[in-house]
Amino acid sequence: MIKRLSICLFAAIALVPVPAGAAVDLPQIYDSCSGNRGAIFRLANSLYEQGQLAQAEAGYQFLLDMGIRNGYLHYNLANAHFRQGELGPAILEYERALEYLPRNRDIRHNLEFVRNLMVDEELKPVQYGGTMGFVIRLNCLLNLRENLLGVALLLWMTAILYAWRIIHPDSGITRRTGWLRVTLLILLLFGVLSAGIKIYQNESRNRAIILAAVSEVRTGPGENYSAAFSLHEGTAVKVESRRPDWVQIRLPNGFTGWLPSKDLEVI
Amino acid sequence: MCRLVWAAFLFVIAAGRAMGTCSVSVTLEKAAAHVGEQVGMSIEIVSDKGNPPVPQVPPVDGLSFHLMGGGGMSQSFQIVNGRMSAEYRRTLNCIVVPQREGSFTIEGIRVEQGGESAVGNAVSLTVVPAGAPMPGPPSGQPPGGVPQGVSSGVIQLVAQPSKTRAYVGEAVVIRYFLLVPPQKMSEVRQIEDFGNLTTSLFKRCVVEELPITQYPIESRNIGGRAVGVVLLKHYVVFPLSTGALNVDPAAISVTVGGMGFGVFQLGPTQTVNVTSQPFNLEVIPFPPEGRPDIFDGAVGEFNLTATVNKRELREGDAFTLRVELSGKGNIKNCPPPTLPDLTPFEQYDNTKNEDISVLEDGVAGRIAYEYVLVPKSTSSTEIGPIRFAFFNPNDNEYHTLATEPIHLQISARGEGQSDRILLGAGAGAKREIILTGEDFRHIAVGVPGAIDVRLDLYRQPIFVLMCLLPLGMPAGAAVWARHRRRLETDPDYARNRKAPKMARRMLSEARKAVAGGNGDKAYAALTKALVDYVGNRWNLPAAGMTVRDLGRQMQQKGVPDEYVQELITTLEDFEACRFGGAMNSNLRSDLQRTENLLGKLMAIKGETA
Repeated sequence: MIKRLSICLFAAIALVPVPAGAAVDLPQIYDSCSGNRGAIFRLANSLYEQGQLAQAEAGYQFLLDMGIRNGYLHYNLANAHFRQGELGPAILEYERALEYLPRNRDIRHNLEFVRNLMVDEELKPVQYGGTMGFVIRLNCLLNLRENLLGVALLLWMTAILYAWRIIHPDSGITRRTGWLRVTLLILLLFGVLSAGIKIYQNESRNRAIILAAVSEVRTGPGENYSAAFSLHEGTAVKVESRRPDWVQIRLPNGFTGWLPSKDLEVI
Repeated sequence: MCRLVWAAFLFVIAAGRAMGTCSVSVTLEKAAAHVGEQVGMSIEIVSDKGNPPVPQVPPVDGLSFHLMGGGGMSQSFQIVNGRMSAEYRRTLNCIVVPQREGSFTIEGIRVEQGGESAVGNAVSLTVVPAGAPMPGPPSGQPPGGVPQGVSSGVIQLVAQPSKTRAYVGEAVVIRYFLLVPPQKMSEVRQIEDFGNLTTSLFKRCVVEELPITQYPIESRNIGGRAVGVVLLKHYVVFPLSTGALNVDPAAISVTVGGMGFGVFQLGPTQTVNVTSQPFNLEVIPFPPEGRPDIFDGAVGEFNLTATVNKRELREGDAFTLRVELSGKGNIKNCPPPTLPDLTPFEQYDNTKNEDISVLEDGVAGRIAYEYVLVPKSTSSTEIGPIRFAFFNPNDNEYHTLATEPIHLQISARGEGQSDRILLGAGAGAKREIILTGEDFRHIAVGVPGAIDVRLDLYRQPIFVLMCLLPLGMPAGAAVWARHRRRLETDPDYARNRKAPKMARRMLSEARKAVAGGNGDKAYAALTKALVDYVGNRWNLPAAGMTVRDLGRQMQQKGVPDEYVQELITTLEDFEACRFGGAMNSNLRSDLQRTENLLGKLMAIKGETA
């Protein structure tokens, strides 16, 4: 019932402000009520390209509310936010899109583009170089799903090779694939470690983006505490702890304080 | 610390220096000077009675003397035939400033020490009015003009500027020579401490150094005296501001004496601190007459060219305008040439390529500026003259260079033609890809944006199962390998494992026989199924045994009596049926009876063998 209402609402929003000559095909939207998610996505794209950004945003948001999770959906929604001048939500959605599509250059480009317009200077975490930096960059190449599938594939390949070795210890294949077994084992260990870190991050959900235009960070969880510093929309923070209506945040430079939970949203 | 080590000769030639009690030698930097010009004077006192005192310079009417603090003390010891002798040396630097024109003689400087006195040599100085030409150089002066006034027995550091009056930005060559008396040419071992050589120069000048890789000694005859000349430093400086530029004395340490070099050095040595004379460089401003508007401080002689890489192009095509400035002067610090109005063109980042080298008498080379331009419309068909103004100090005049206008043929872009890149074969010259605008990128269109992609696969049971299965695979393989090995090496185990299979096969044959109504064959198959199963299962040599013997063996293996008795009864009944005339009516019930009995036997747990 709620979904159907949302679709109708989206249809109404999409229909009303469209200028003459660019009428929205209402039956197509209703068709999408029966589950045609692709049609809604295409319609939202079409609205975006016509400059109907609010309607396009509603379409993307509608798909998200349906439970669809997709990097391109977040990316398009972020673009719609940005073109409406909403930096904070745009950065939030770009960050979400990157979780799904970590190698997508368009997302990174637009995220960088939007960050350049932020009021607060971007505080980057410690940058590692050398082997550590290489491992971290490698870890960021895959999203959690790809990482997990990779681990499963490596598990199967490693298990098959070791099972073969157990059954046929003296065969030529066993002798020739010794290096492969070790390599797969190392890759598997790295993959498991990488997946573990990503699962932890996915579960902890402690990265957030400031959505309020300006948000006063206070020394305690309440308005009666003094303001320590202020943050502007789009700034990334780490959520340390939560209270009702308040969250404690920490910046990469070590600054910490409390914010109203409505001022930010977890990535 | 700058350390210069150079070789003069391989063997030390003992200098026949007369060891007097005290000696004084005076050297003037030059024999002629203008009124007000600073002239360096070096005083060296050598004594064997301890450190020499600071002498008093006798006053000369028309000359003023300023003693510099850069003098040095040194001492050396020598043992000859078991007797040690010491030599103490003091070197002083003095600035002589002529107050008026005329010829002056500085009488010998007197030094008294230990009740004895010594008088130095007299030196002469000719002073001419300011701006008047100097007397000609003496014959034998080395190229570049090594100063006169070399005295015997003194090592000197001489600064030699190419001129004492220069315009702002004009190249002035300054060289530092080491002058070594002939008797000490073979004794110079090491020169060091060049650190402060250009301290005062760097403050107000752009300094370029011509690297010197070898330090050969040239023997010259200067002022009738033989002297060794070594060029130590060669600078080309460009003054940055007007006014008097006082170049401080440069100080170096020269190690003389001994034999050999470095760790192979033998014999007594002494270190002599020598300083160059300070000098004054008058930096004058540019003349105001005839100064072009675009003049911005370029001094020297220059040429200017401008070219484009293509003259025929289409609207929106990029081309490169190359402006090359070449010549000699302060080219490194020159402003770029003045460009004409380029608003009809889109202009992108320009590049600058330099090829400049330091020469003996200045700095020369070329600078190429490259501008990437794109005509905005077909009306922008000309690049106007590019201009550059400089001052030439040789003729004391300003010069303005201007290139010829560059005409372009620009045609309108046709329908459907690409904006920047021509695709397809036959496009001719390749075009450069230029980023003309930067914006955030477009939405993802035509991608499966509505497909649900779940990141949290680890929450899905099927994925967890998929990951757990391979973990058990090696264990399963180990069990399988062990089973295979036992089958190959343990006949009892092999028989035991194949018993049910064999029994089922015989039962299958029995069923066929029952279905065909062949009682004899059916009972034979049923009997074989039971006997083979028991034999294989408990590893008994069933063939050739009587039914009773088989029963006893089974009892010994621990098979329950009830099963043994039932087996014996069954086998005896089947035997009776086979040999006593088969009753086809009982075939089906006997088949069932056998199946039940085999089921009971198979249900017996454990290895009873």
